[in-house]
Amino acid sequence: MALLRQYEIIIASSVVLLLVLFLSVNILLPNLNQANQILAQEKNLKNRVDLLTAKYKQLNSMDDQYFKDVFVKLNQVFPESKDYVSLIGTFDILEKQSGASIEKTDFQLGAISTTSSSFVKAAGVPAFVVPLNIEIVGNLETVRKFLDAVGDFTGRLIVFDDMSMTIKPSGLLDIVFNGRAFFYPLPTTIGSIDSPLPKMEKSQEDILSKVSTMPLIDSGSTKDFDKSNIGKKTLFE
Amino acid sequence: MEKRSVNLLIQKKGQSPLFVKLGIIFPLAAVISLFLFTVFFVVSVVYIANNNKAFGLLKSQVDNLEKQISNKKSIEGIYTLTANRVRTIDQLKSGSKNYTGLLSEILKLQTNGISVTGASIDKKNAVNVSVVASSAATLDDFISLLLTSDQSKLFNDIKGSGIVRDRSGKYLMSISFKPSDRLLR
Repeated sequence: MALLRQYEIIIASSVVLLLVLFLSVNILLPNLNQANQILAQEKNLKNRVDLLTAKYKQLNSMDDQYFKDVFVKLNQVFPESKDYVSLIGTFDILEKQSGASIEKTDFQLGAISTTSSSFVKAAGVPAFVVPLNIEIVGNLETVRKFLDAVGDFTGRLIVFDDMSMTIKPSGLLDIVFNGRAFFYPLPTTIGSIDSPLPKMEKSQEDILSKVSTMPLIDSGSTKDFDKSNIGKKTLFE
Repeated sequence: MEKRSVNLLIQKKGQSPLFVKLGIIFPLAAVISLFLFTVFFVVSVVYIANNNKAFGLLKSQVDNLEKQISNKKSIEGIYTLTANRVRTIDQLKSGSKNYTGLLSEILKLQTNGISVTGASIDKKNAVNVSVVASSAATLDDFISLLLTSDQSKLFNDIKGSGIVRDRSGKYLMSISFKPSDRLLR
């Protein structure tokens, strides 16, 4: 008892210290952790609010109809499948616009199924290719118009890799171009709700405005059929 | 008999210096730690209470914006697909060539007595041109013309190969060169 009395201050102080330690570990530290988490989450949320606000403003300012129309035309230039119909339609338009005569076109059918995995993908190019070659005959002016039309989104996007030319006795140029048309399946997802909208550079905006002015290729029209003066229009003629 | 003295006062035993120090340090530490604990605890509780409200407001703002953006899903999809497609087209077109300038320069090689019969350009932009010269003199003039083209840097690295004289007395020759980049734009 006397010993206890002698050490009573030290014992009481030790009890208080232990109690404070216990409360700090079990109450104060979790509180401080929670406060820290709230601070970090608040920062994240503020960033998210800024991002989402900017994205919403951008989406709100867009012309829905313009992009819907442009997207359809973009699909003509760079479709999601091989689409041989639009490729053939492109050759027709190139011939009409340039005045050059397309003597022969040759393109690989390859895998017919668009969902087949055995596509030919060009090395270092973000698209699948349809290798083709095309033979045209014309003078320098018509060939110039032909090449300008090819590069100007008249129809499918075609890039020429090489060419060989012979000059006919008449002076006309007979040129064979080897090149590629392109296609790529559309992705099934567009990204998460807080992923920012892709930005377009100046060159890309120029492409968009050119594509928006191109006419739609009419692949199913029969309106020229009646004007055709060769062949039978019905089986019973 | 010897006198004995009885001391009724109990002598206080001397305390060790360590004991004295501990007697000061422990209570002091207890008071300070209790004080600090109280302060930190109160501050943390007040901070959490205030920020929970602000956090809740931000969360509802985020939810609201996500809902609004969700309603614009179709235009977002079309725009994203359009932008990605256009970017790919830009990449594909960046490597494309227009042969108009080159063809025009090749055809200019045709002068009196020189005719171009054919030409080709491969993927590495190496050009081959086949020409027919009506005589040795016109062939000589043609080679001088080529040297001018070399000086103007339209055609680089010009090489001639195999001059063949045919039965009719004409000279057939092939030349190869690398065209300047501006001829392929």
